Amino acid sequence: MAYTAVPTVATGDLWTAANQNTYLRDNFAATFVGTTTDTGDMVYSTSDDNTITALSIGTAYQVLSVNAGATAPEWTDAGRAVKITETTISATDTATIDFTSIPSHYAHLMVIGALASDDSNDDNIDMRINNNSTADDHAWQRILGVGSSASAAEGVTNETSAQICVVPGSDTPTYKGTVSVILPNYSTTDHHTWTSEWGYAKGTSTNDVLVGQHGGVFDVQEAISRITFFPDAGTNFLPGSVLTLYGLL
Amino acid sequence: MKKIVIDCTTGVQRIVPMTEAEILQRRQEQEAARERRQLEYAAERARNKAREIYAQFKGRSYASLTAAETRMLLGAVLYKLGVLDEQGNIK
Repeated sequence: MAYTAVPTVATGDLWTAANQNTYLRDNFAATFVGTTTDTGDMVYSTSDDNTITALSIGTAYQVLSVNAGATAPEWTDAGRAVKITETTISATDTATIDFTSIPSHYAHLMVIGALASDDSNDDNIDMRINNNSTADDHAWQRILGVGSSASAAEGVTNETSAQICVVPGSDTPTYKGTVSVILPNYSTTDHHTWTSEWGYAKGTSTNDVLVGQHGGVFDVQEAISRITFFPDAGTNFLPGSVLTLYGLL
Repeated sequence: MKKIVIDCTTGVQRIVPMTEAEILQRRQEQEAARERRQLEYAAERARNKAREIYAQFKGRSYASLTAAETRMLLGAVLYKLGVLDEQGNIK
């Protein structure tokens, strides 16, 4: 039922029952009040004559999109990244960044960081999952490129955490290393493999730029709800370090 | 030493001191990390030395090596085997 434009009336005009039904009853029925019936209903116009219809609420974490014909809105499961939290180091005595009580409803997790360590030279950053420091519950592999050389290393013996990247140290305090860590299907009770990509520069001369990848496993069959980061050989993160946790849908 | 603890459900961030046990654990992990890094550096130096030697002697026959070159090659091998230190002294 379409909305009917209401005429202007003046003193002395006759307002009939038909007027009442058309301009009040039917118009109310044709607008938001008469169109929505359930919690979360939204309304949108379906034509140029103010005819509207209700769009029922979608399912959890769906997003509002435009349909394929570009004629109406709809709820979809379109992938996106949601920033769960972010922290920026301002003090000089921050040794650990601890993401706790991570919600389980995302498909995957991604951590993006700009980090540096207070160790005197280059340092690694370590990741511990679920605060588990049991030896051999973590393992990692690294490939690293610098200058014209490539090298590899691994940590598979008595590992109580996992290296995820190499970052600059306090000898180049104005530089940060960038890293992104992907933890797929983190909420399943399965062994959890992860990967990271990283790179940093501490100048523009040869051997000043490093890039690499890490990959590894948290070898325990449980959902991930906590991730902790800390310098490997250094004590603290350098101020200005930033770490952001995203949930991917 | 402090840690930033973020409750990802509520969004609350707190900066709290690490416990004595946590600090002790970190110290032990740092020590292990530094030892491992020294080993990695040593391995990297050995690899670099091997590359230098390969580039320098590529195409040469063993019989053509001078006494000094032979001594240098032997020194590199002994270093790689851990018999010599970086200064060329027998450990």
